[in-house]
Amino acid sequence: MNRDVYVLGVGMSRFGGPPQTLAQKMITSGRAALADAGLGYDRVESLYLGSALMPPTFGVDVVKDFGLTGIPVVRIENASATGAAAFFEAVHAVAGGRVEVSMALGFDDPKAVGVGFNNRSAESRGLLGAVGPMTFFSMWAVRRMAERGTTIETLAKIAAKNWNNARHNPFAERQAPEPVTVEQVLASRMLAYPHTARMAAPQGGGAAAAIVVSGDVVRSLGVSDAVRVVAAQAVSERYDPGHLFKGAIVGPPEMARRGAHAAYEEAGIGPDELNVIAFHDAYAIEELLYYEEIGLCGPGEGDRLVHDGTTELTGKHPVSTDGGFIGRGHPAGPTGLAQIWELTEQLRGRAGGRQVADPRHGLAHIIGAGSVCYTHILEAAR
Amino acid sequence: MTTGDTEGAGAADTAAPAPFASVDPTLYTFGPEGEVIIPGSQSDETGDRFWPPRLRCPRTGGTVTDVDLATTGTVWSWTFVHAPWPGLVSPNGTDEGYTAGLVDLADGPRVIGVLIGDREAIAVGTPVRAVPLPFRELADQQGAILAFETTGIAS
Repeated sequence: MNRDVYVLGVGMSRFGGPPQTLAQKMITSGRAALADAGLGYDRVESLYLGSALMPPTFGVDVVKDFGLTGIPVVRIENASATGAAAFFEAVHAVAGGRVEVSMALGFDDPKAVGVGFNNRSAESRGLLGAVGPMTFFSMWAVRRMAERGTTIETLAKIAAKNWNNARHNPFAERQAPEPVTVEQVLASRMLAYPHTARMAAPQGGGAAAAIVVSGDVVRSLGVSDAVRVVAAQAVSERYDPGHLFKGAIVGPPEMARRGAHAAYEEAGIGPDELNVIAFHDAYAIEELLYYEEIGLCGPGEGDRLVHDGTTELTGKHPVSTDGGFIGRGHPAGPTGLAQIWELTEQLRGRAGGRQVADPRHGLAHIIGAGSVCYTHILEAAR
Repeated sequence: MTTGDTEGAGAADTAAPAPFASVDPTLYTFGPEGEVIIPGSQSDETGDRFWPPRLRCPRTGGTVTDVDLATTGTVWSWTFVHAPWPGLVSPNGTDEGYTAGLVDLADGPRVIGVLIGDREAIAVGTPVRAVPLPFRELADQQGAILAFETTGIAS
């Protein structure tokens, strides 16, 4: 990046609830981010709207209620990675010097538009309907189990961790009244072997926003705890033998490795220095594979991290601290921005019952069908 | 479980003309004997094969030639989906679910398909061959989907 970029404010609505309309969630989360930044919308110079599912022009119509200030408003779409893509554009708008203050707002309501991981629309009633995202990720899991001896209990332990982290996140879609056990995860309905319903992300609607500013703005406001964006990387697929060109999830997990290493190089840190991590954990197998792809451990060692507590809130590398996709939810457009929300809250020490001890660096990874992968690294003020 | 549906439908010696129409004709089709045709592209420069057909070679951007891909391969991975089969004729004869798979064809490309045959034999590495699976009515013809039937056990 050409100059320092900071996250000055974040805001989100609870995913899957409360019973607001999507437009209300968008305005609520956007205004929350502005209030958190201590800026009015009149200071925002460009707005990136992230939506994968809503009809064209839906977003630009709703955001008129921030105020018709005449700034550029652009819709971004990159499947599940849409919110991260909107954040990436806001970061680079500031980094490139075009604007001082930019805003990213993600939103989607899968149920309102009748789509979801496990739905079969009339149009998809063919091979691609029979073999959807849930099926693909479950096939990753079966392959892993055959190659490395991973057990269904390990996947259940990942999911239980994320459910229990979500209990401390007021904006998580899943709010379990009591701690969730491995046994309860295993006992829930089997969706596609080995994933049970409690190992899969819910897809309620929601919105999330971030205010991205230059270092000059941070200094002029005298803000001491702004979180710095030290890496913003986007990658797409490379060809490998066995490359899939058709199907719901065609991207190989390898994208996570390449994106993370590009981000480490940009940030000047390594995986050992990550204190809070967010993944595209729509299904439990993903979190396990990404441990290894981003270098938290060596190939085949991810299972150990699950069982020795490394990725729990109190461990060395806490993962999915806000509940991740499995606990917090995955509407699509806002998901990547919910990850930024969580890293920002953690790095400012405002994460309440799920606060990890004195974090310095946070990494957010998210993939989108098609296939793309975004990796951001944020750094706490010191 | 029974594979009777598929064995009857896929038999090449019934002499019935064009027994199936493809539900997804850009992904797979069926010949006059009900044989599976998996269309693909071969890179003129590298020889790599791709499924489904591409306009240009995704490795080099160069030209490609249309080819029919191999119809045998091995299971890269599989899962049992606990949801009602979206077609009319369940591969299991029940609504308990169905097996989905990723299959590495003998000439390289990885394809998606429904797996049929002995459920206990389905594993990473199991050899399979492509067969039509009756799915739903299409106009006045029986529509079928791409499936792979086990032909042995994983080595």
